[in-house]
Amino acid sequence: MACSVTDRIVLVIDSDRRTIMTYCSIYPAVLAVAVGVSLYFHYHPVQNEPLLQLAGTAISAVAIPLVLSHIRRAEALRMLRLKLRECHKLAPADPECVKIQEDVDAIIRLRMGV
Amino acid sequence: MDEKANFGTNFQNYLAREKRLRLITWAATILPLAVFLTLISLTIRQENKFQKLRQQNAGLSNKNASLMSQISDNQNKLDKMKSNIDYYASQLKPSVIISFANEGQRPKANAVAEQLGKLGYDATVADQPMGNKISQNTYVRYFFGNDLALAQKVQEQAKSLGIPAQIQSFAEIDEEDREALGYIRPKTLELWLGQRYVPSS
Repeated sequence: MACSVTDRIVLVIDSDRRTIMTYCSIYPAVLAVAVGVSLYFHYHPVQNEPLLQLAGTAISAVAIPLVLSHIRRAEALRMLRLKLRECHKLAPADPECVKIQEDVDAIIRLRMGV
Repeated sequence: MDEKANFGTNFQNYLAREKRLRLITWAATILPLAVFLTLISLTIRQENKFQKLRQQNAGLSNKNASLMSQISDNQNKLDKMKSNIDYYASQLKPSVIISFANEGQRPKANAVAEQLGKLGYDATVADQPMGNKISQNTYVRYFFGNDLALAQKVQEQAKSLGIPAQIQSFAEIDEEDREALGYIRPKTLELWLGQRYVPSS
């Protein structure tokens, strides 16, 4: 029998995993647009128009915050998986379970901005 | 106990919020990309249109320059014509106005006009027969001294078609009479098929 917080951690991990999958589904779209735009401007150069720079700026503006969020969420997911592994090892009455629950609640409160 | 229940509700809110955030992230990323792609494609389309317009404009500029050159040449010609009547005459195409007395002469008048047209003359036939207003005899009439040779050629052509015409000169008339004839430019002749002329079948 594992800690009572296990179910909650599983749900949070599932949610984080879905969030990361969302990020991963966006990357190919960004990449495809970047490659498409680059190829187009390579074969149809437009003189005296900073369109390529504009395209690069716009794609970077979309991609950079996404990558940063992805890294943060992946790190949190790694930590939650460790906690889940610990939970499986502990008995429900173990005082360590309470500490893990407090940690998980703190993470959730932080993410909700409470 | 209340606190635990409250946090349970908050946890459900957290999961719902995360779900919303995922949708928002996806939309907030894909939509700007789509808008950006649309803008790029519109810009490129406009750029292509401008390119075509620029090419057309360049073509029109060339045509314009060519037209301006033609206008300038023609203006020079016109100035020269105004100052030199002989030069003016040399630039003109000879023309023959054919008048006739009655409808019976019209086919012959048309035949002469056709023949002269083939020879490079600008020949026109009067719309209506002139009846009594035309002379009794048949004449080739000329109005400038230099046009005598031309009148003789027309006379020969008329003769070859069975029209015996005499040459009548108006080259020596004074300015007042010339004005009464109306505006007649050099190399303009008249062929009058007189009342006595009867076309042979």
